[in-house]
Amino acid sequence: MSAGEQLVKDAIKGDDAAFLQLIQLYKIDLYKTALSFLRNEEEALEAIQEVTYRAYKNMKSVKDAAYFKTWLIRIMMNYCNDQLKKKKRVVLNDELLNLQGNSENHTEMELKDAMLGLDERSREILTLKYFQDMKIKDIAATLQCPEGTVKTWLNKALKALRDKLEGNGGDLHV
Amino acid sequence: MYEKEEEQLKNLYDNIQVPLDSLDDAIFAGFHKAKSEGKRKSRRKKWLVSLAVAAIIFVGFFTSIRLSPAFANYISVIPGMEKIVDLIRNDKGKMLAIENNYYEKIGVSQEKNGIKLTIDGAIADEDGLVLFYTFESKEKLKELQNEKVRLKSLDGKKLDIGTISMGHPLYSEKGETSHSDMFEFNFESPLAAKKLELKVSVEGTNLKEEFTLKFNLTKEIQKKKSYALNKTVKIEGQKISFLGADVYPLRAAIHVKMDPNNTKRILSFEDLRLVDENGETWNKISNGWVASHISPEEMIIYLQSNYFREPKKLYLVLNKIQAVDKDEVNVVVDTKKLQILKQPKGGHLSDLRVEGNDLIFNFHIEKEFNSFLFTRITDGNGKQIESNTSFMGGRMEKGYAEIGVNIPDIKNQPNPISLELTAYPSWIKGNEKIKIK
Repeated sequence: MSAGEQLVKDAIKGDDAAFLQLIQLYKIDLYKTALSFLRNEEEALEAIQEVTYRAYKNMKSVKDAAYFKTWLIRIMMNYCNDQLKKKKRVVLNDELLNLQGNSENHTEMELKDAMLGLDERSREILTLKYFQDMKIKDIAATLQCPEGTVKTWLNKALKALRDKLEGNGGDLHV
Repeated sequence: MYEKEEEQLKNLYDNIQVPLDSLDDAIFAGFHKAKSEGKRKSRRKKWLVSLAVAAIIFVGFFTSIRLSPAFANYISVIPGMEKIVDLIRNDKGKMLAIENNYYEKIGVSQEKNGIKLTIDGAIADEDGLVLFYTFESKEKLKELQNEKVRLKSLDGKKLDIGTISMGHPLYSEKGETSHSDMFEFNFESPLAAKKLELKVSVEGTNLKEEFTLKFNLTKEIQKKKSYALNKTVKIEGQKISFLGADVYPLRAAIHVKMDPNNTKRILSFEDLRLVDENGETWNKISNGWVASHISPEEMIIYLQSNYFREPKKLYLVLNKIQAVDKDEVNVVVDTKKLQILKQPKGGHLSDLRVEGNDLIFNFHIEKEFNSFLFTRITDGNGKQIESNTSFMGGRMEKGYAEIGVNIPDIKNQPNPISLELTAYPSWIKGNEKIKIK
């Protein structure tokens, strides 16, 4: 058993120090996830607060210590998706994106905007794969689906992303 | 195939600056919020509602509104305004009131045993009064809760209080030396009193004080703007009449009445909003008192105010309304057999259980749903049960929230028990735009 897994077990039993150590361990991953969804520091920090809260309240529902990180990222993504829906904000209009769409290398800004224009599943899968650097196997466990499905979704997500970047994205309003 | 995209995605968040200190603060805050709730303490606003008012109070998540540059400029030149703006960032109406110089500075304080209460300032209109306050203490305070708040007219003029919101209690593991929030009063007849006395009782760890502060309101109170609407819309067969709108500086009140022949009970106008000719939008009050029910068929809905704007055109817009069939308006349970006898279509409630005097359900919902579900509770003989506390835990990754009410002496209450719905994840949808002016 890894040291991390022992911490998870201690935290489930109610060891606060173990819980805080775990959050420390994954705070950068959580922050990057929040930032990729919510786009600004202030909201990402608010997300960290809420996810710490939710994680603490629900430690007992962690079933497999080996998947604690994916469990935590899952909470973060649920929270972020809810926030995005609540805000119903328009990310970019088509016109603006079309203007930006044809340059050879997409700027960071475009990429971030395009990510936000994707459907929930695509956004989640790209976040897990590229920002969290997770293996297909772990993504499958997080999303609770077969590995083959993850691969299919991943391809669809990349295609959707390219379409958005190239300005064929159609409706970009979230 | 997508190498270019993959490469870019991988690099996207590699070089970001991580604000480590703020990150640790956020973790700390989340951790302590969870810890202090473990002690079963309410961190929510405390309310006092007169019996005459059936207020629907919505405790929403804090959603802040971005400050306009002009506004940011305005507040930066007035010392002490930042903390006040922090309190009202989720209310465009109050921000407009401040921006239009309708806020008045009060600066009256009283100190007792090392704790000082100051009324920093006020916004008053015919319908309501907001008092911004700050507690300061030389020693760090871990707990401070307003137990009682009273407001009295000293000049014999009218002060007819309907509700009082006392603000959030202070709970802090590391302790704070300053705590700011606001008292919000709403009136049942227009405010006329100018000389006022505020009495506040507070309690904390080894601490119990009462403060008495006298102060005057000097700003001339702006009269409401009233619009007659008398327009009926039909959404999925349900007829709803918009009778009128009263716009006050602090909030806009929309009076609606439902056709008695409707097949559904209208629970909540979820996205009712004011929209002007430029598309600028004022939503519902996001955290606080969202509606008053005059009867099941008639209510007043409160929106953030656009009082200080002079739009050429103004519309009420709505797309979705929470509604359930009239014969599904009550959730009926048997607390002995632990059975849900009746609930609306969709079956969002399950796993009824009794813990102590708490009646608890699992509430299954795909998306976050922040409204509390129940209002009046009646026993098997149709007698109303007074419930002092209710609670709702947020939706977690497990896909449901816990929702419950405290029913005194639950074992001896005659079954079945009915809980009347005040919110439910069931909607009728339309696309209505009603002209106000």
